[in-house]
Amino acid sequence: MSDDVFVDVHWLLRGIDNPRLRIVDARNVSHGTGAAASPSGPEQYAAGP
Amino acid sequence: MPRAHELADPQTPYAARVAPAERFANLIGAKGIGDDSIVLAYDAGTIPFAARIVWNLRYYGHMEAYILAGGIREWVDAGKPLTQAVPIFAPAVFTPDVQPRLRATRDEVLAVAEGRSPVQLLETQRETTYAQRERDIAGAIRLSGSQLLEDSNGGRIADPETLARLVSELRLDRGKRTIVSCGSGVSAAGSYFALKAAGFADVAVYDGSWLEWNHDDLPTVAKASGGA
Repeated sequence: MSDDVFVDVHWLLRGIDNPRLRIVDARNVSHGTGAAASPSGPEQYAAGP
Repeated sequence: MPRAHELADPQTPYAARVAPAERFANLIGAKGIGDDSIVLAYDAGTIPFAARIVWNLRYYGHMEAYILAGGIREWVDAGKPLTQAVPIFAPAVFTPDVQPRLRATRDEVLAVAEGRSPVQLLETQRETTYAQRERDIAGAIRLSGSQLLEDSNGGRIADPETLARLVSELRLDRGKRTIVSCGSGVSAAGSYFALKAAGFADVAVYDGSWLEWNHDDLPTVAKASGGA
């Protein structure tokens, strides 16, 4: 669908009905401790889009 | 976003490390991601989680994996709807085809730290978390992920002119194998794609990154002045 790893909303809209398409919500990943800690999914969700 | 898919991260001491091939294949295959899937990942636009997952997929040989530039904000700003409904797909077969050049091992990084390797090692942890560290992996060159990834813009790599300037200032060699590290391997995955866009041919993510390095008490040096 694209040679570039970064795509835009128009790319998605063109392919959103493609049965091969899988969309991954990658926000729901918390990881790390201390200096490498990152927010949890619920924290990101609560912060809104 | 409609038709979005939840992907769990396995619990490990270094939680962001890529899952073993069989586990990875089973996990995402169970979610309906198979060999013929086209995968789009998005994140909140400030931490490159989407890049991390796409790098995972490409590490396992699945090239039809993409990142939504700008993350979910881009979708919302375009006036598109959100949903809380998580779709369910029939299980699919995902066949891992490991691309070993995309991933740097601890031993490969140790060779750099001990001066036994000509590979370029870049420390690309983002500013906010890097500021909490006192030390670096020996032999690492600091190149902030916050500059590579345009934190303020979200979900994008820096523009080509900025990338070229950063590469030039550090006198990096695009022809050399280059390892990117960060706190845990997430920002490094974003840095991986930024460097690929900047013309680096042979880039690898140090998957364990600082979490592993520090935990295993491997060689470190005090951070250079000027590091955030």
